[in-house]
Amino acid sequence: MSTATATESAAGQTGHDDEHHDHPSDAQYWKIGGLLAVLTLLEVGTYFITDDPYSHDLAPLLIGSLLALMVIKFIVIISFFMHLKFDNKIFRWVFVSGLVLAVGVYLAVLSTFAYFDQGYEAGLQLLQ
Amino acid sequence: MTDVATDRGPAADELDGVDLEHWGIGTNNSTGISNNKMGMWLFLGSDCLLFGALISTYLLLRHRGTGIGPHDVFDIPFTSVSSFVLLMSSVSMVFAVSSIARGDHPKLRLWLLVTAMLGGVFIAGQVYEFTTFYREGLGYTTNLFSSAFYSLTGFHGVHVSAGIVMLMSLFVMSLTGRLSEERAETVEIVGLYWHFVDVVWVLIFTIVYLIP
Repeated sequence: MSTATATESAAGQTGHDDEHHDHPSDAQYWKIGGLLAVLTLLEVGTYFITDDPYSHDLAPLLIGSLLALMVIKFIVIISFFMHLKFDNKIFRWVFVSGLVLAVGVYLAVLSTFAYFDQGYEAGLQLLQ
Repeated sequence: MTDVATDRGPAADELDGVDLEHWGIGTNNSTGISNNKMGMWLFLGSDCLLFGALISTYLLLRHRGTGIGPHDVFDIPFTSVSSFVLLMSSVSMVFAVSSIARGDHPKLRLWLLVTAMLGGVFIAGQVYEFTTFYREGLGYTTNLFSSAFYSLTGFHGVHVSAGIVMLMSLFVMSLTGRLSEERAETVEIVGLYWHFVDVVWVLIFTIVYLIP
């Protein structure tokens, strides 16, 4: 087995050469920072439409927009600033696993509480 | 009998000249990735569960209390400025990471200091906010909303404070010549923590403040 073959074998085993790409330049970081600032301004802008999105006529649009902006900012930061887009995919899997587990577990908890709350409210009405 | 300590075997001889460290063989692990970086990502993945618990608890309890509620105390323009400051600290952090990658130590120290200062401004804003809320009658045990709110934002504040300590440690290490380009990964790992703290605030700002 030659040296070159050993190197290729190691590369194939780790996938190292396929995973690592150049990180963004400083100019690109400024652009990403500007994008995040604009997205934050848009978020804050909804407050000047209403401070209570739930009771506004455009509630689904306002709340949907706020959640969408939040998700976009989240993805931009973890992809570019935390280099998940460029680093080894194992890091992505580790972080996303924790995130998915957290979202799944707590959505289940919230749904359970919401379900039993309805029963609780119905019970109270029956008692009254 | 073969001397085990000196018998490297034919396979080891064939690897002479191969940059094993580059491929993560022998010196670190078999995956070719840094253990330290993996440790930080595992910590951040588990921290998602901590903040997930705090956010969902807040969502459950925010309307169950009596008396003062979110609408009575939140100052959105003020918190927006705080959020913007923390967001910009993430931008300065990436410049710190790219500075040490280039071996530019004066710039590294500048950006570390800027990041720590922006973090300090955020914490000062949080202390001011908590003090104002307390004066308006919202203590930690006032109602369920206040307990959930202070627990969530307080835990985040502790994370930011720990990040500031890490940043200042890096600043001192760089100043005393103990942070060479070879240890650039240390700055990157602290950067990962800092960006995570920022990304958690992105969620808190929207869920707690903008959709009350």
